[in-house]
Amino acid sequence: MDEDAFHKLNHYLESLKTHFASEGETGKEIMEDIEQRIAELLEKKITDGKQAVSLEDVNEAIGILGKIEDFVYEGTNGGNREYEQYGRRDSRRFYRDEDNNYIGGVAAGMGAYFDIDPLWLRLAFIALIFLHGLGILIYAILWIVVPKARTTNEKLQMHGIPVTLSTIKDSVNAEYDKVKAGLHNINRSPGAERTRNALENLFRAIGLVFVAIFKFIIGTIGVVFLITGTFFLAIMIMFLLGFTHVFGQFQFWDGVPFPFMSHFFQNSAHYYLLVIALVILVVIPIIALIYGGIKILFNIRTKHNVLRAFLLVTWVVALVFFISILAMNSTNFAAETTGKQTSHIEMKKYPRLYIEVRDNSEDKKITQYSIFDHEFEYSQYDKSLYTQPHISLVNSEGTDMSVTVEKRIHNVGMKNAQDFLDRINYRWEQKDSVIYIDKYLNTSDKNFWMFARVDVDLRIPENQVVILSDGMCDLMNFDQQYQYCNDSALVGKPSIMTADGLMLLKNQKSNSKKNK
Amino acid sequence: MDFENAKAQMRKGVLEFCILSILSKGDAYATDILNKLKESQLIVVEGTLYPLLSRQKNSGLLSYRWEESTQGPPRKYYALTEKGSEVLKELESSWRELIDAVDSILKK
Repeated sequence: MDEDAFHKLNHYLESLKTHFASEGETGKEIMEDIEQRIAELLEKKITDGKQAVSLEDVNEAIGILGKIEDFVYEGTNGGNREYEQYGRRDSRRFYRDEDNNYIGGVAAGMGAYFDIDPLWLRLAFIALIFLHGLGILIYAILWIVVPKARTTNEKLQMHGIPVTLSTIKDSVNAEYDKVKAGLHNINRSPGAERTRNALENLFRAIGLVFVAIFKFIIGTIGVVFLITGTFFLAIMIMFLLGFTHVFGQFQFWDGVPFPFMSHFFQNSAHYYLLVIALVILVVIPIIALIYGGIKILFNIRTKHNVLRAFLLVTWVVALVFFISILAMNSTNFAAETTGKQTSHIEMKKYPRLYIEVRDNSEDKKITQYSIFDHEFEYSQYDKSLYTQPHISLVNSEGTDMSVTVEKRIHNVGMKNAQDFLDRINYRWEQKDSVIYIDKYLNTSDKNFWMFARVDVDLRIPENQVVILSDGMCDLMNFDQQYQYCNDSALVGKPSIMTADGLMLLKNQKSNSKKNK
Repeated sequence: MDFENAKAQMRKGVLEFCILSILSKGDAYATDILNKLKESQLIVVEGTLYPLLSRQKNSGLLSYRWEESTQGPPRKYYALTEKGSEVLKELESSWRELIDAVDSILKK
């Protein structure tokens, strides 16, 4: 027998069994007869050429025997009373109501489930659409997950009976009665008679507690699945679309795009395929979580075998793509690399040299970030990262005067570091006796992963007089900052390069007099 | 809905009557009965029959025995009991009365 045929038949027999369960022994007898008839019908289908029973055969047999609703219509058990029993026996279930639908009957079905006018639910869905389209997402998921109410029985279950305290008590009592019946069979001896009442009370209490705990645990699992699934999905969408400002505490991501490392891929198609594969790899488990949560919460027992198989296959395919693309591009990766680019330019000499810092961020609104030990600032206006260079003033130990700009990038997983150095913008210029130095090196936010750094060495010959501007203090390393910017600040005053570094011009003269 | 119910009740009564008359012509197992009922288009789905058979058996109108079959598993053969024959006779006479009565009304 084919598997799908078996499931279908099983489902059919189960539905009949619940139908006839109320009739006790007679019900069992009826079931035996029906099972025998089905066996007879299916036996006819097996010929020499065809050894297995197919889904078609089962459908045909069910068509001949008829579904429960047909039984009831033909009046075997007397009309509508039967329907009421259904509503009472089974708890209410969440189905889509396509008789009163606007789109997929989700709101109508939910309204039936919660006893609310579907109008409010529809309005709620519409309102949620304005929350990044969340309404559409939830609706779509429910549309897929929640089955349609097809049979009369399911339509009645959809409405069920209102879930109130008394109905919950009823169902608990029904469970308890079953347990009690079992106990009676065991405790038939007269000696047990006396203890029975006490036992009954005890078991009743235990039963109630267990039912409550069980329902609570199941409900909690459902809620946890739903919440974690939705949470991950939300984060995922935000990373992809850049709606990152929702989570205030994740300030780092504020406006800085997720650092996908597109630069490692020679072929941009590879990169996009990799991103799509990654999204599928993450999204499918998330959907599974949400789906599982909804199923538990709303007591849905349907099996979407086709959907499940489709998702599983998609996931595996995505995984294969992901791994193979990474493998294809693996030559572009390296454990850790640094790149260095040095430019060395001679400067003209003047009796007095002024060193000015130019703020090339142009007062754009800048937010500060720090990752590991790397500090940078981000401007939303030109989508650029701004980092301060490290400047040191050194004795050139000769007569020449020069500026050395060293660009460095450092990253784990990047092989061709040298190719990227030109993406760092850093300028300086000399106008007559003034040297202008940029306050920031700048690079597009796409190059965030380069951890760009620039070191500027100003090589100044001995006895050259230099006047530092205020802004220099921020850019110098700690030692020089301490030396030149603290108490005996050189800033703004003429100073002279000596063997021990810069000194105030006056001090230098007095020192040299003393030395003489 | 009430109309549907009346139709269903009517059919149910007739169906029980027909099962008894089929069995009065000889013992039969469920499939025999089904085939005859289907020929005369009295039932649409077979599932209807089984609850009726067990109800009639429970009220003592029918009995059954197991009989080996040349093909497949043993079959449940139903037979009319004495009480069943009596009920059938009553039903037959009331059926004729009913038909006459309805006919006379319809023809007027």
